[in-house]
Amino acid sequence: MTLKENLTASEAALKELADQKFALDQHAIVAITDVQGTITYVNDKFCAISQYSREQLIGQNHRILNSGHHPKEFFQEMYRAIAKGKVWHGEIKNRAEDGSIYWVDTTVVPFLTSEGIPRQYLAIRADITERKRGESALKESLATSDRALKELADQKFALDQHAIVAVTDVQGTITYVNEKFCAISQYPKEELIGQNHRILNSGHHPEEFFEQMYHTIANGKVWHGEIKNRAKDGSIYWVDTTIVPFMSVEGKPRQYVAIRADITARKQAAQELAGQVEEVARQAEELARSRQELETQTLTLRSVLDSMGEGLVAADEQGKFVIWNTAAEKILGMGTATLATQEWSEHYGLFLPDMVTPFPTDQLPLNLAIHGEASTTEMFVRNPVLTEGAWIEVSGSPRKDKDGVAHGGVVAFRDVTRRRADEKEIRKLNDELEIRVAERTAQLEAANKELESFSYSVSHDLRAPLRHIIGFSKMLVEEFGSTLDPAAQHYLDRIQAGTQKMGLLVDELLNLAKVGRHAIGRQATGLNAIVAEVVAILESDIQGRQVQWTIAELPQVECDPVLVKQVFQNLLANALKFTRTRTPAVIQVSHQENTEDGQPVFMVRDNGIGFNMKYVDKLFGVFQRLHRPEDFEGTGIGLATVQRIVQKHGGRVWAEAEVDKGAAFYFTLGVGKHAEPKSNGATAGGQL
Amino acid sequence: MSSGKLDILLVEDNQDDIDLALHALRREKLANNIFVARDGEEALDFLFCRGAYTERSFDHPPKLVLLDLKLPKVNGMEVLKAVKSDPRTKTIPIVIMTSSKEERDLVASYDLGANSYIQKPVDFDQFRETIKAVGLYWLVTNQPPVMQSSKALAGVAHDPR
Repeated sequence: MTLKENLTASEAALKELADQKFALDQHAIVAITDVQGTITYVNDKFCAISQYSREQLIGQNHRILNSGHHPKEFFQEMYRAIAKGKVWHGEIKNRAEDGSIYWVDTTVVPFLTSEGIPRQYLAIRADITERKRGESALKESLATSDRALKELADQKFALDQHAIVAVTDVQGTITYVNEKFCAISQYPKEELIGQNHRILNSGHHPEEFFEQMYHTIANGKVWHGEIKNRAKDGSIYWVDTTIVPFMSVEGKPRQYVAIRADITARKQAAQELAGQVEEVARQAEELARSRQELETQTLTLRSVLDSMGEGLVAADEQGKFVIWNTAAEKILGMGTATLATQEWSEHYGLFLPDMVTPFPTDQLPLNLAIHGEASTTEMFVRNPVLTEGAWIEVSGSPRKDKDGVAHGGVVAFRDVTRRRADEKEIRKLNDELEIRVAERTAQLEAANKELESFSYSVSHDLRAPLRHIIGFSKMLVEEFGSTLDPAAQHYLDRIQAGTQKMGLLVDELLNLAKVGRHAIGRQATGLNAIVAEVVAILESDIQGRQVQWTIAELPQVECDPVLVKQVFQNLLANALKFTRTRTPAVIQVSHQENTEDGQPVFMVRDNGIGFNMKYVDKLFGVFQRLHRPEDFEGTGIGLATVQRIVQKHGGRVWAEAEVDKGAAFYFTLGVGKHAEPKSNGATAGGQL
Repeated sequence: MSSGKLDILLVEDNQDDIDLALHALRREKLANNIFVARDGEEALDFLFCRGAYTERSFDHPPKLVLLDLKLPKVNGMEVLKAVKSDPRTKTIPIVIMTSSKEERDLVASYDLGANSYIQKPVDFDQFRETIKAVGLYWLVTNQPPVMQSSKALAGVAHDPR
C-alpha cells in the first residue's frame, strides 16, 4: 500500500470513527474521566441529563453526581473492575443539579497505556429513568395484589369464623352457606344448597319487608336490616343481615352475598332492656322530681336560715362548718372558716363571762354538741370586727340522724348585749326601788308608830278626864240633885249628854285609827254567820219597831272577819237608823256573783229616807253628815270606817239612793284579786 | 291599915280615878280594908313587904289588886311582871283596870299572868256596875289559895290526921 493509500485508508477509518462518535454522542451520554475519577470530557447529552454545564463538570470528580442510593461497596467493586482494565456494566442512580434523580445504564471502558495500566475511563450511558420508574411501579402493584389476595383470604377466613355467610343467585336459590349458617339454622349444608332462601322465613315480617329488600338488592344496592328466621326445629333466631349484590359485566346483579350475625340474645336482651329502660326512665324521672323538691327545700331552708334573726352554725363530726347563716356572720362579725376545733375560740374571739379568759374550746356548745351533748351558755365575743364586744347566748344540740346517732352539731345563738344592758339597768332600778321602798316603809312605819302612840294617848288620856266629868256630874246629881234648882239640873243634864256624845266620838275615832293600822288577817269567813251576829246585837235596840230582814244566802269569802263584821255593823245600824220612820222597815242583805271585775258584790239596801245623790261624794268622809243631829244622831265616822275597811281589803264601796225612797250600799272585798291562797281553798275558783 | 287583913290594893295615880273608884266600892261596902298605892314603886314595896312596908308580912296578901297600867316611876306592866314571876306573890289575883283597850296591852297583860282585864267604861253607871261585879267576885265568890308561907306549911305538917 502506498502512503497515500495508507493515508486515505487512515482518513477513511478516522472519518468512520468520527461518524461513530457523532452517532454515539447523539444517542448516548458520554463522559471521560482520568484514573482519579476527575471528569475530563462530557458530551451535550451528559450536560442535558445532569443539568450541569460543561464548565461546571470538567475538572470535577464524578462523585458530584452520586445520589447516595448505592452502597459504597457498589462503587468499590466498579473501580476494582475498571482499575484491572475490565469493562464494567451496571445501572446507576444519579442526582442532577436540581436534586432530581435519574437512572443511567452505564458501560465504563478503561483505556490502557502500552504498559497495560488504565490511562483514562470512557463511560457511555443511556437514560433508563423511565424504565426504572415503570419497573418500580410494576413491582409495587405486584406486591399489592399479592397482599390483597392474601388479605382477602384472611378476611374470608375471619368472616367464616365470625359471621353467618350465604350466597344466593338472583332467584334467591342458595348456592353457598358456611358452617355457622348451618349451625344456626340447624340444616345440614346439603339440605340448604339449591333451596330457596324462603325456607327460613319465620312469617314474622310482612311481605313488604322482603319486597323492599329485594327491590334494594336488585338495584345493586347493599341492604341492611334485622331479620327474624325460623330454624329447622321451629325455634326462632334473629340475624343482623347485610346483603351485598355482585354485579355482572352488564351491570346486573349476578349473585347476592348475605353476611349475618346472630343477634337473638341481643334481641331478647333488648326486649328485657326495653322494660328496664322504661323502669330506669321512671326512676330517673322520680329522681329528677325529688332532686327538684330537694332543691326547692334547700332554697327554702336557705332563705329561712338567712332570714332568721338567730345565728345558726352547724358542723360535721370533724368540726367542719356546714351551715353558717347570715345572722351568724352578723352577730359574730365573721364568716365561716376552715379551722381546727381548738382554734375556734381564738379565731372568733370567744371569752368566758369574765370577758378575758378565752372560752375553753372543749366546752364550746358546738364542740359539746358534736360529742352528743346539748348545752346552753352565755359568752362574750370580741374580735377585730367586733371591737366593742358583744354578749351572746348560745345553745347547742347534737345533729342526730333518724337512728339517733350523732353526726356533728348545731348551735343557735343571739346577741343579748342589749338585753344584758337592760337587765343590768332593771337590776339597778330594782335595787334603787327596793331602797326607796325600804325608805318609804321605814317612813310609813315611823308614821304608823306616831299614829299609834297618838291614838294610845287619846284612848288613855282623853277618855280619863271624860270619865271623870261624867262620874262627878253623876255623883252631883245623885247626892245633891234634890237641892238643886231645876235650871241647874237641866244644865247638868246637858253636861252629861255632851260628855256621853264625846265619849262615843272618842271611841269611834279610836276604832277608825285602829282599823287603819290593823293588819288584815284573811280567813275563810261565812258572811251569813257574821250578819246574823250583827242583827242579833242590833235587834236588842229595836223593840217596838217592825223590821223585816231579808238576808240572802251569802258565800264564804276570804276576809278579815273582825273588820268585815264592823262593816255590816255600820251599814245595818245605818239602815235601821234611817228606816226609823218606816213601818215596816225593810232591810235586805244580798250579793251578786260574776260582776265585771270578777268580784262578788255585797249589798245592804233599805227603804228608809235615802239621801240626795248630789251629796254622795261626802258620804264616806269623816265627820260628814247628811242629816241634822236632831233628826238622826250620829258621829259621821261610821261610813268612813266602812270605807277604810273595804279599801284595806282591796275592794271598793259605793252607794245609790233617792230621797225618801231608800238607800243601797255596795261593797267588794278584793276577793279573787288580792286574796292570799289559803289551804282550805274556799274561794280558790275566784283567785287569780 | 298596914297590918292585919287587907281586901284590896288599888294602884292608881290619878286622884279623880281614886275618888270615883272608892265611891263605887264604898257604895257596895267593899272599901273597908283597902289600900291605895300612888305609883308602881309603892305598889311593889307594899306587895314585897319592903321599904316603908317591911313590917308587912307575905302571910297577909291582898285578896285583890286593881292595877292601872299608866303609872309614874314603875308602870303597871312591870308591877304585874314582878308580882307574877315571884313565887311569894304570884297567886295574888291582879285585875288590870285601865282607860285603854289597846290590843297589845291586853295580850301582854294576859301573857304576864293577869287574872282579868277591864276597860273602865266612860259611862259612870256602867263603871259602878263593873266595880261591883269585880269586887264581889274576887272578895266573895272566889276562893283564894292557902299561902305557901312557913307558918302555913308548918300548920300543914302538924296536922293531927
